[in-house]
Amino acid sequence: MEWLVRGKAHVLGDDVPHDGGVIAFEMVTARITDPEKIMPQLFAQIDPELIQRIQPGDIIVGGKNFLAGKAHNTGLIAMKYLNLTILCESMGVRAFQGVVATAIPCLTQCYGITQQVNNGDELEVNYLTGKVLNLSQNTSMSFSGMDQGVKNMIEKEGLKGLLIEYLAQHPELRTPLTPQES
Amino acid sequence: MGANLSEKILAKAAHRNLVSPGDIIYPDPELVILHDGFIQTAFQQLDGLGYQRITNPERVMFVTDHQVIYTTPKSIAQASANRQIAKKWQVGHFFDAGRGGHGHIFPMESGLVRPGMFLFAYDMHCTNFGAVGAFAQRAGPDITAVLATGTNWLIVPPTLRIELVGDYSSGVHPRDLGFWLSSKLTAKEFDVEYDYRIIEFAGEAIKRMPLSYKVALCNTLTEIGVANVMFEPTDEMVRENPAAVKSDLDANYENILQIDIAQIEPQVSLPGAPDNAVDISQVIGRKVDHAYIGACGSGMFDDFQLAAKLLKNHQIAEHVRMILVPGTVKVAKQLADSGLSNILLDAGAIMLPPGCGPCAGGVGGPLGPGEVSISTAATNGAGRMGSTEAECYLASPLTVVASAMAGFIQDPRELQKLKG
Repeated sequence: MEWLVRGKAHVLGDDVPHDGGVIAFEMVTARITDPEKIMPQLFAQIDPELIQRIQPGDIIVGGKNFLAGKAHNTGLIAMKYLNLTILCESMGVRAFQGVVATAIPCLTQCYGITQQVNNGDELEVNYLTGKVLNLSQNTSMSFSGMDQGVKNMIEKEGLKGLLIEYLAQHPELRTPLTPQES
Repeated sequence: MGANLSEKILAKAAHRNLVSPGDIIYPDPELVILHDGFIQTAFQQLDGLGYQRITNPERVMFVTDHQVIYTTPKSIAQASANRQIAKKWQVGHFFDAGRGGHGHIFPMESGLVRPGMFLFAYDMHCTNFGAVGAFAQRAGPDITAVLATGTNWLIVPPTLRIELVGDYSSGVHPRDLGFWLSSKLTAKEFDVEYDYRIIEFAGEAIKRMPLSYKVALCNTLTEIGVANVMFEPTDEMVRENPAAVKSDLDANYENILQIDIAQIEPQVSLPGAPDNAVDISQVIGRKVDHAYIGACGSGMFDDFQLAAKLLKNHQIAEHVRMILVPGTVKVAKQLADSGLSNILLDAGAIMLPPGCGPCAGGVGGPLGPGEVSISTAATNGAGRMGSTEAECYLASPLTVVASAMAGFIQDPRELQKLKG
C-alpha cells in the first residue's frame, strides 16, 4: 500500500451523495460489482466528462459530508480499481466504514481544503502524517493523519483481506455444511 | 455512572460488564438479517474466496421485500439464486416472496426481534427495531464479515437523548417530527452532534405513542447518518421479555434535548434528502402525479387506518395514481378483515403486495420523467423511484392522502376541517 501519493486533484463540492452522485442509483440497485462496468459511469451524474480527466492514482477532493446519503460501496469499487484516494472536509461514519472496507486511503478532516486546491492541481499527500503539498501552488497544508487501526485494515486490503485471513484460520469453512452438522 | 439501554444491550452482546462510547467491540448477534437484494452479492464474494459455509447459519435470516413481484427476468433469477443459497448455507430463517413481508417490520410483529436483542442487518433501516428497544446494527456490505466470522467490529456510539413532551397538534404525525428533527439536526440548530450518534427517545410523550408512531420516528431520522434510534421498551414489553432493558437514571448521554412536539407543523421533505424539510405552507399547491403510502417507516396497520379514515367516501384526484403497500402479510390481512381495504380500493388506490414497494427503485409503481410524487418512502434522492428527472417529496401518511385527494400538495388540516 502506497501512503505517499502524488496525483492530480479533482475538486468536488459539499454533500456529494454516493447514490446519484458518485454513481447512478440504478447501478447500486443492479448490484453491479465489476469495476470495469462501474468505472465509465463514475461521477457521471456530477460531471459526465470527469471520468475522462481522471488518471489512475489521482486524488478526489471532497467538501463537507462527502459520500452523503446511503452508505453503498458501488462507486468505491471503481475508485479502488482506479487507485484513487480521498481527501475531504468531512464524511459520515458509515460512509467511512465503506471506504475502509474497500481499502481506499482517505483523510476525512481536511477542513477548508476545497478552498485551497483547484481542479487539476498536482498534490503530494502523505496519508500517514496528513501532510498535503500543493505542488501547483507551492503551498502546504497539515491535517490529521490516518488512525493506526484504520491504516492496518486498509493495509490488509479492507474487508477482503479480513475474509481471506479468517478463512485461513478456519479451514473448516472451506467445506459445505453437511445435514448432520446443521 | 449508570448505563443507557443501548450500552446495556451492546455490553451484553460483547460479553462485557459495560461499554463506553468509543470502545471497539465485536458483539455476538442473536440474529443476522439480509434482504433479497444483497444475498447473491454476499454469496458471490464469500464463494469467490473459498467459503463453502458460513458461521452460525442458524442465526441468519433472509427476507424478501425488495423484489416481491418479479418485474424483470433478472429478478426471477435473483429469487431463484436466493433460494439455492438459503439451502446451501442452511440459514435458520428464510422468508421468500409472499412470506412475512417487509424485513424491517414483520420480525417485530412475529417476535423474531424482541426488546433487548442485539442483531446485525445489511440495511440501514434496521433502526426500525429500536421501536421495541432492540439494537440492530447496520452492517452494510460488511455483512459478509458477519456471515463469515459471526461478528464484525463496531465502535460504541455516543447517545443523544431527546425527551419529548406535549402532544401532536391535529394533522401532525411522527413523520413530521422526524423530518423536522432531521432538518434541525443537520442544520446544527441544536448545536449537538448527530453523525453516528444513537438517538434515544424518552419523555412523557412516548408513553402515548403506538408502535407505528415509534417506527415512523426511528425510520425518518435514519437517513441523516445516525447510528441508531432507540425507544425504551414499555412496562408491558418488559414484563413479557425478561431480556428487555431500560436506561439507568444516572446514565451517560453526550447531550440531552427537550422538544415540545406541540410546536411541530406538518412537514414536507423537498426532493434530494429527507432532511430537506420545510413547513408544508411553503409547498402547498405543487401538483402531484403519484402518491404512495408504505415502505419500512409507514407500512403498519395504523398508517393505513389513518389513510382510510380520510379517504372514506372520497376519491383520489383523477390525475393521481395512489399506491399502497402494506408492510407485512399480517397487515394486509388485517386491512382485508377490517374492511379498510375496500375503503381504500373504492377511493381508487392501487394495493401492492407486502414489501418495500416503489421505494426499492420504483418496483411496482415507478415515476416517469417530470413526474412528481409525494410519499412515505424512506428517502428521496434522484432516481429513487424511477426516473432521475422525477421529483420525490416525502411527508406523513396524512399529508400524502390529503395531497392524493386534492391532486396537489395539501395540508391535511384543511382536509380534516372539511371532514369535520
